[in-house]
Amino acid sequence: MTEGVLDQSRELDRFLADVERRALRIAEIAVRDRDDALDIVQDAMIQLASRYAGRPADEWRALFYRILRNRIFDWQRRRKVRGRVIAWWTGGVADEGDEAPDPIEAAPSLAGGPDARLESAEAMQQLEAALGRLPARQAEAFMLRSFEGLDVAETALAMGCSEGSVKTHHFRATQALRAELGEHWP
Amino acid sequence: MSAGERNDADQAFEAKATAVFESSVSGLDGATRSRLNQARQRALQSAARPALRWPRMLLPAGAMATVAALGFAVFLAVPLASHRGPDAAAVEDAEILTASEGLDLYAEDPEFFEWAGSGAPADAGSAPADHG
Repeated sequence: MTEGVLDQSRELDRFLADVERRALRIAEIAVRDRDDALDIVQDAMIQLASRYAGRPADEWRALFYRILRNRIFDWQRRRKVRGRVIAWWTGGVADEGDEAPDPIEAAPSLAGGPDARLESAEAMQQLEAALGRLPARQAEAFMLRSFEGLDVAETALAMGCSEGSVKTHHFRATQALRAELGEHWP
Repeated sequence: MSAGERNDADQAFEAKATAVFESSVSGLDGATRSRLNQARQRALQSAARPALRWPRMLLPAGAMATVAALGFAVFLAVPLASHRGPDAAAVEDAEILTASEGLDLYAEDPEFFEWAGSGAPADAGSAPADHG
């Protein structure tokens, strides 16, 4: 293996290590299942590494989140079709338990954590619930801009829309979340 | 207020949301971190296999070679007679006409060859008696 390829591999390793946990939580908020979110993040990492590793490193973040977003949409489409098939098969009674997240399982690990961690976990649950009630594009814009720290141009590339749309979605998401969670949150 | 005019309250809220999110990220358990690490290693392995891309690049050439080989095999398998044109038929007729054996046979049994040339059906019952 040449020195250049090794350097690129190390850089890619650093990049993926930097984004993987936040990507997992973002995917988990979208699909509400940790195992599925792990599969989605792994797919996104493999696709970025196998297809776009040769692109400039400063493009990786937007590309990675664009792939992740597509994977989440694919998952949601499959889940919707599966729900319809189950509803048809069971005479209109879909397994709602499959969709509803277990609040205990969905909560982050609190092992050995102080009260502050518990409060933070509760605040995160409220935030996740509020994000789940937003239009998908607004939730996406908020998570990419606020959680992942993408700038407007990167977010536009990841979401496949204009920078103006990103600003509008992010602004509306912030307003809606503030209104729902209140000034005293968390 | 427009999308471009985010006020201090919005920014303060966003900062709180980011802190809560980061707290949930740092609270991920060891098993989940381990699975993420394994997923990352798989991704890095997939990036370190550029040789696997060559067969994809060579697919069109491989397909062309396969088609050419199949074509050649079909060419060899088809009977040579199907490739013969009118010239070959003429040569065959000439051979019959010049062969003394064929004319001798005709001289020995002219009735049979007249019947055979008339196009009468095999079961017409009018075939001449077997002279053979």
